[in-house]
Amino acid sequence: MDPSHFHPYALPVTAAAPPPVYLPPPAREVPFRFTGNAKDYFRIWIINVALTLVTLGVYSAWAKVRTKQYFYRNTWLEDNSFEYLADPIRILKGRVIMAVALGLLFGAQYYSLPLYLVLLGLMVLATPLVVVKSLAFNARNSAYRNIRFSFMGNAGEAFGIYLQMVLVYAGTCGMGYPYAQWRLTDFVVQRHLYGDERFTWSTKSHEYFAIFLMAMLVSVPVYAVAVGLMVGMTVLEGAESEAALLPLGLFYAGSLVPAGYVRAKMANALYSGVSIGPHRLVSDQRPWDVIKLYVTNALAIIGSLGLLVPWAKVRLARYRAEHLKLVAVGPLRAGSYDLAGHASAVGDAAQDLGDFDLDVGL
Amino acid sequence: MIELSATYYDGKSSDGTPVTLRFEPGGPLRIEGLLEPLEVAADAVRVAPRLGDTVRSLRLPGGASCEAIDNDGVDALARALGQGRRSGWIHRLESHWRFALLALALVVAVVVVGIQLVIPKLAEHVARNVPEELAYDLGRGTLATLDEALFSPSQLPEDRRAGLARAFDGIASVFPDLPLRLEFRRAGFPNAFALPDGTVVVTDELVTLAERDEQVVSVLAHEVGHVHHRHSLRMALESSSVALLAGVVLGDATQLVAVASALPAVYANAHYSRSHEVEADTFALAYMDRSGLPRRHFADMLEALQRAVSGSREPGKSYLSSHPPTSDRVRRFRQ
Repeated sequence: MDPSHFHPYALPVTAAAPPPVYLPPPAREVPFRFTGNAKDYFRIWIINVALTLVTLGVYSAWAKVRTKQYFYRNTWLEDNSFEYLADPIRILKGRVIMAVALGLLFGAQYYSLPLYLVLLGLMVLATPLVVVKSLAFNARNSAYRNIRFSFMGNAGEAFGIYLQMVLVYAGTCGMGYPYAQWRLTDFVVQRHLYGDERFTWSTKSHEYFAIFLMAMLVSVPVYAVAVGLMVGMTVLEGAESEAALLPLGLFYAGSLVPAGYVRAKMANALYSGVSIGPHRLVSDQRPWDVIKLYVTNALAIIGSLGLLVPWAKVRLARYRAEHLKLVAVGPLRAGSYDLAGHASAVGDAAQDLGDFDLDVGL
Repeated sequence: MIELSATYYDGKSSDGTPVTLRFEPGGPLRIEGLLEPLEVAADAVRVAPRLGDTVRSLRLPGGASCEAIDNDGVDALARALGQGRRSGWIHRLESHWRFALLALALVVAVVVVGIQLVIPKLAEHVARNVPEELAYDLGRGTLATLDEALFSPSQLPEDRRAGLARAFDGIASVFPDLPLRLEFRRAGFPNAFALPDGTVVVTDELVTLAERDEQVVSVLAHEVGHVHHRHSLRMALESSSVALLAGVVLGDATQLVAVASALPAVYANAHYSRSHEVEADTFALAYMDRSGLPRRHFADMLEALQRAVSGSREPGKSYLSSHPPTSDRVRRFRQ
C-alpha cells in the first residue's frame, strides 16, 4: 500500500512553489492509561466468584464479560476507553459445547479405546478451528470508539501453521520453540484489523530466539540452586513435611525470574513490532520491574489466601498499560471494515465458540 | 425530561461528536448536536449494564452508539426507558462493601464446607455407584509400568509366599465381589499398596521386616480396605474437584501464579489421603477382630516400618503428610 495514502496533509502547491513535497504530519506519543483500582475490582471479583459458585458455574459467563469489560473500560487511549461487547449467552453456549466435547472424550476412554482415539484425533484436528473462531469472537467483540476489531485468519491457514509448528518443534527437539512461537504470533497479529486498518508486524524471529537464549542462561543457575536445595531438604526431612515446602517455594520463586524476564521481553518484542495503519505501538516493560511484580504478586496472593488476586491483576494491568504507547502519525481514525466493501465473513455465525483465551506470547 | 451529555459514534468511522440526549417518557430518544437531530425509538436503545464507574454505551439501531460517563444520568435514562431493572441489582451487589463481605463469607463457607464435607461425601457416593467394570479398570497397566521402572521379581521362599497367599485368599473369600489378587515384588524398600483394579502388591522387604506372617496379613487387610472403599477412584474425584473449585475461586490468577492453585490442592489432597488411611485402618481393625487376629500385629508392623524408614525419630505432625502420624494409628490397635 502507498504510505502517502495515509498522509492527509499535503503542502499547498502554487505556481512558484518547488515541486510538491509530502510532509508526514509529526509523530506524537499517545500513552495508554489504566484507571481501574483494586477496591472496586475486589467487589466485582468477589461477587463474580460467589455468584459463580451459587449458580454452579452458569454465572461464569457473565463474570467473564464483566471482568473483561472492567479491564477494557479502564484502559484508555486519548479520551476513549475500550469496550467489550460479548453476549454472555454466547460465551455460555461456547462453554457448554466445550464441556460436552470434553465430557464425551472423558467418557469414551472407558467405553472404547478406538472411539476415544478417534474423538481425540478429531479434537486435535479441530484445535486450529477453535482457536481461529475464538480469536475472531474476541476481536469482533472488542471496540474502540464504536469501531470493532476483527480477525480474518481462517482455519485452513491456522491448520497449516500448527502443522509447521509441530514439524519445527519435533524436527529440532524443541530448540525451534521460539520460531514456532514467532510464526504463530505473526499469523495472529497480521490477521487482525481495527476497523478497516490492518495490523502489521515487523518483529523478526531472531529477536524471539535471543529472548529465549537469555532466559535459558538466566534460569540455569536459578534452577540448579533450587533443585539442589530441594533434593537436600527432601533427603534430610522427608518429602511429606512442611520443611519440604521451603525449597519448593524457592523453586517457584526462582522460576518467576526467567518467567518475568521472558514476559517483559516478549511483550516488548510483540507490541513494539505492531503497526496499525500509520501508527505503531511501543512497549517498554523492564524485566526487573516485571520480575518484582510477579514475585510480590505471588507472595501477596499466597499470604492472603487468594484475597489479593484482584489487587495483583489490577497492578499488572496498570503496569502493562503504563508501559505501552502509540506513536501516532496524524489523527487516530479508522472506518468500519464492513463499509470498506469487504464481505463480513467473520460474521455472527462464527461467534458461537466463544471464549478461549489465547495469550499469545504474553 | 431527562438530559444527558454524551459522545455519538456512528459506527462507520471512529470520529465522535459531542451530543445531548433528551428523553421525555412516551416519546423517542432525541440526539442533538449532529448535523440534524436524530430520533430513536425508545425501545430500540440498549443501555449497557453499569459496571463500577466506567464509561457506558447506549447502543442504537444500525450500529451507532453513544458513550456517556455520567453513570447516575445514564441510570436515570435507563429507568425512564424501562431498562436496567434486570442488570441493576448486580451493580448494587458490586458497589457495597457489605455485599462484598457477605459474598466473601459465602465463598469461604463454600470452600471450607466443600473441601471438608461435600467433596468427600460426593466422591464416596459417586465412587460407590460407578459400575464395577469401570471402577476396577482404572489401574490397568499400572503394575506393568511399575515392574519396568521399579520392581524386580520376588525372591521370597516359595513356602512363605504360599502361606501369605493362603491368608490373603481368606480375606478375599469374605469379599467375593472384589477382584482381589496378591502380587510379591522386590523393590528395595518395605511397602505394600493396593491398585484400583484390586491388585495388592507387597514387597519382599516388608515381608522380611515382619517378625511373623500375622503382621503382614494385617497390612494386607488394610490394603484390601483401600480396594473395598475404592480409594483410588475417590482420590481422583476428590483432587479433580478441588482443582475445579480452585479454578473457579482463583480464576485466571492460576496463570498468574501457578503455585497459588497448586498449594491448596496439595494440602487438600493430603487431607483426603489421611482420611482414606484412617478408613482402611478401621477396615483392617474390623477384619482382624472378626477373624480373631490380635490387633497388636498391625501396631507392631507399623512400628517396625517406622523404625525401618526413619529410625527412632517420629516425624512431626504435618498437614502435608499422606498418612496420619504412626503413633496415632498404633494407639487404635493397642486398645
